[in-house]
Amino acid sequence: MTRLSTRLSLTSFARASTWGVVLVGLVPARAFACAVCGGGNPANRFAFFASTIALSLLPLGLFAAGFLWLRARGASEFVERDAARPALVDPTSRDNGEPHPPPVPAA
Amino acid sequence: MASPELHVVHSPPRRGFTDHALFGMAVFVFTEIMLFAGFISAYVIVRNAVMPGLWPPPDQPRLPFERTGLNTAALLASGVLVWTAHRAASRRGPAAARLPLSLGLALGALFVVLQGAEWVSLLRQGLTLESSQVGSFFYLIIGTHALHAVCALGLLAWCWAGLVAGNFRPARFGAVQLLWYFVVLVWPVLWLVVYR
Repeated sequence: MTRLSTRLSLTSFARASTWGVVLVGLVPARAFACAVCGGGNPANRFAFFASTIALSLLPLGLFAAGFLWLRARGASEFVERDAARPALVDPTSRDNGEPHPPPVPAA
Repeated sequence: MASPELHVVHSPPRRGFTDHALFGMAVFVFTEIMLFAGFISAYVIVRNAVMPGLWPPPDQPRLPFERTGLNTAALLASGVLVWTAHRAASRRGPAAARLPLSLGLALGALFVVLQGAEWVSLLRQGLTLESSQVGSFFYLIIGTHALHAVCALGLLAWCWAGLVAGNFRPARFGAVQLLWYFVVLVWPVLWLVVYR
């Protein structure tokens, strides 16, 4: 019983903490803890804001560009491999390009 | 005992998504882009914190924006020539890349020499690393770029030497090209942000 009440109070505390963090996150203008982002002239504040946006989006953009580039290269490779496959299979055999079962020695 | 008859299906070898040298250089260039982005961010914030008309401070020289336009043109032309060398090598063979690569290398070296002359001039006018925030940012950001330019120029010279000796390696050249394009393309941004 004691353990159950302790667990409940911990859950309540975690829930209250989460809501608190969310509420603080919704009012960043009230939390000017940094002299750079909160102080200075309007041009300085805008420079800080724009730099934050740019530095946040730049790596994501680079990752996205790299991913798209690799995907395009990978797709072209698979197209080439699939196009080349039928020509390299012996037409006289019954091979259809599927993986073979392990060979069984003749008795 | 008869040997078993085995069917072998030949499939083309995997060539991988990209060349290892190129991929490694791409990862390196990614980190360098973030490094310069951080530099530019710090510079823009500090510059905007200064009262209008006080950047650079009255006792400090103004950065030669117009005169550095020549350096910028030389570096951009070098990038175009290296790209031309790449196209020539892939279409007509390595021998066709010799002239454009030589010219691109020469223009890259010209950029570094002109930058060095500009630094000497600014040092004589009193702009040092410790003289002001302008000097600190200038020598940090432009100096880091110059270091990259010198290293990339050395790698380009290595590729050029291989080309002349008949030992041209396209994979190596591709990776070095990527670094050189980074050096070329980040420069106009630095020129417009730091020098103006």
